[in-house]
Amino acid sequence: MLIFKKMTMKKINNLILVCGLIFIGFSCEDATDIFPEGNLTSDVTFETLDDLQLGLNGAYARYSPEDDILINSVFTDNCKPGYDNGGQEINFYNWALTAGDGNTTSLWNSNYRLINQCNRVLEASDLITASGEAEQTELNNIKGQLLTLRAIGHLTLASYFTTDYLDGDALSIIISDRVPGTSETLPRNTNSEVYSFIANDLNTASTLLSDQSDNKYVSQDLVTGLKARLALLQNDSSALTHAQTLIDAYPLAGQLQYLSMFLDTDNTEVIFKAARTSGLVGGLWYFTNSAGPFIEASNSLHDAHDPADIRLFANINFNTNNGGPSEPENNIHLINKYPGNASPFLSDIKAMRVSEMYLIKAEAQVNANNLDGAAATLKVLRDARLGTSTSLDSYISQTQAYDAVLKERRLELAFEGHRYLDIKRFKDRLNTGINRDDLDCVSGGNCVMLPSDHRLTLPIPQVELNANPSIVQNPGYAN
Amino acid sequence: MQNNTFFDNLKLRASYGTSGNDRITGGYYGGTTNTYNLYGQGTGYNNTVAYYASSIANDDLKWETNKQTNIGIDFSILNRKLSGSIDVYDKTTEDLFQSFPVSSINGTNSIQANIGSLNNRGAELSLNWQAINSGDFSVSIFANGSYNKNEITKLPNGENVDNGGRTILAEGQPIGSLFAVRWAGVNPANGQNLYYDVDGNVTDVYSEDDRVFIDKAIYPTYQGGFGFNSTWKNFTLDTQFSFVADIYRNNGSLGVIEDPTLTSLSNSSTSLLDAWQQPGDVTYIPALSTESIRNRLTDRYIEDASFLRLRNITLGYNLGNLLKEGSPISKMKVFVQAENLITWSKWRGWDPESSFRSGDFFDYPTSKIFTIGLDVNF
Repeated sequence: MLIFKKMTMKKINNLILVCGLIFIGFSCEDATDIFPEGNLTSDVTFETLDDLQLGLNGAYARYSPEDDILINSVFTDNCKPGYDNGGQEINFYNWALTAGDGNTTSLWNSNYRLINQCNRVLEASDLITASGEAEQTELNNIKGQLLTLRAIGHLTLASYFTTDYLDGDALSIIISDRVPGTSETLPRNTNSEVYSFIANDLNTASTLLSDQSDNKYVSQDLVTGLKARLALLQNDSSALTHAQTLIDAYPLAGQLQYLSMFLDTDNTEVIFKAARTSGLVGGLWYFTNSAGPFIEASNSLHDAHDPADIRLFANINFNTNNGGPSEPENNIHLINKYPGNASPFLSDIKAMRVSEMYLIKAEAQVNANNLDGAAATLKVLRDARLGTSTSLDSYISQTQAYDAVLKERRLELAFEGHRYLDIKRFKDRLNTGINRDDLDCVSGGNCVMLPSDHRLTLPIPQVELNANPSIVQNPGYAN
Repeated sequence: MQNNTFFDNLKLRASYGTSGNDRITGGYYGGTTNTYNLYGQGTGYNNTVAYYASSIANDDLKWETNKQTNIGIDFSILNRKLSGSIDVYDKTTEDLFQSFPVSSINGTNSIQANIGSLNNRGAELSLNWQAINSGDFSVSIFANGSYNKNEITKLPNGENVDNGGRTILAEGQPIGSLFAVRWAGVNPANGQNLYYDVDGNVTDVYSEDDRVFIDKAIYPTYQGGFGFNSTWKNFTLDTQFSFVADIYRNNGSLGVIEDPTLTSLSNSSTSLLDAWQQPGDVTYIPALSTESIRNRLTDRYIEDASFLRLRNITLGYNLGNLLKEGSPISKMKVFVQAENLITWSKWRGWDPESSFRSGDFFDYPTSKIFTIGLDVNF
């Protein structure tokens, strides 16, 4: 009886021990691997082509040319403070540019957010196997669009943050070709590394993209245009070839078509536009509720137009909507590039138009010292904008021809995100920086920025310096 | 204690405990998904739906652990007319959970991470005193206060953590320490702004490299309140004061109205009348031709936001004795009350009281509220 009792106790003890161990085994797993039910982890987010398309939709949404439009307008001679200004963008307009600058930080962050989103979806796309030819084409097309958008992110950043486009060894930006670990701190790559990375993405994209004609999405034509821009930064003669391909494919808009284009009702010369269904682009310069401008077009931009030039009416508002009309005699010049159609100030952003290809072609011709060719190219564009046959320029020097190209770019691409970068690219050719009209800098800002000024290259933002000990600031800026 | 006539009640409390912080991101169970790469749905391009990264994994996260020692005394004396409690504590937080900067290639500028250790030491005092209680006149006075000193004791590699902004984290400094370039006033020779460099030499060049700790933080050392409740015949008068001391923040609103580049654009302070005009002028307002420096990380507008505020004062009259016998109303009282009636502070902004932040910029002030009321009990 006693023995039996002992054995039973022992058995019971063992049973408890075994049960306990099993329980511990289960409970440990439960405690350390609490899978977030209902949450979208990486592996369950991207399982199908449709999922990748949703990721791609996010990449498009991360593309933010608004940053370019703001920087290139407010910082340059194309703008002045508006009559409704209560301090908005005044420091930036006054060239108070430090590593803490908000617009620079926004540009840096939004392009790296775009690149990061592309990398996430690209990495996910590598794990998806297409079944059949149709699916493979779709998968390739998604990858091609992602690579193009990633190239746009890198090309945009590289344009602002390198000190010298033509020096292959000069510091450019950080190449981000994959989803990084949070503790990674990468140094800046050189210009030649970045240029070849972008070229590689664009070339791969060309082989993957399907043919499509909706200019709200990445197309082969956009890739060709980006190649032209990339080549232009490097004074590479292939800029001309790529530009010519698009010139042959797209007609220039007539005068009425030109105005309709900025009302989003004409696409004659639009190669790529960023569709906007919310987020008023005009809000970059206006209190959109009252249509009161805190930033206006400058006197010097207004005065640079021929009165018959249709671009005057696309750049400056002489209509009665959106707070208009402008009153140049009273120093009121309202920016009109994003007037909106259905709702005020809500316009698609025309991010690449064929007219830019004429300007790239002309610049490449000047690079090659083909001054008559450049004059002829500019004449085609001017004829379209003035609606008449204009006189053919005759340049006596490369400098004079560069000057003509820069002036034409200013009129054609005003408020489309080019002016600051154009001045930066032309500053050594023309030995000139930013020159504001006296009327445009009355509020205490300086009127002249010399071509040697360090602020013609943007500072690496403070947020990056704080996180990344490997990064080097551009000259002239404090760390 | 039985034979002790001085104390009516005396209790000594002591505790030590270790606990995990389940409110690391403010709310309960806030950071439970921070170890995962997560995606969320959002609005995509051109009226589509899209997937975005919503959480970037930090797979190295640990519990934030608090080790707290507490010693306290509860007492009452003088026939329970004076009672109160005193507590002192020492709380060490290990694996402190804070925002930590990451490179923008991650698509964000910071993640939540365990980055160091923090120590809090302090004392809390609470007192209640029935000062007068004779017939139809009574006064009781109450007060409570706390003192807290905190210090970051450990950070990764001992290096400062700078997320941008006016405060940074550094070993040996309290959390929320203001880190600024010291503004040295106006150069009498030319009206330009002067600064102290990191070694204390005067310079006219602003550089964020010259930021130093100015021994000021955005969290207060002292907080508390006091007041009294009194009755005289049918009248009642109650007050409550609150105070916060040794707290600093940037007065961004003042920066705007003293900004020389905004004079033609917004309302300006009359202090600009004192602006530097000619060589030799000694003033604290730079020449009107100088650039805007209000957004620079200087201490020019960092101000003492300590305050003492009459939070509540209520005068009441009890109508109980006017009621007829057998009335369904058991009690009736009329009162007038004012909230936030008077504030004493050196702060030059609208309202020194705020949640703890590094700067004010046209923040909505606490309103004064006047109430006239009638309390009826059935």
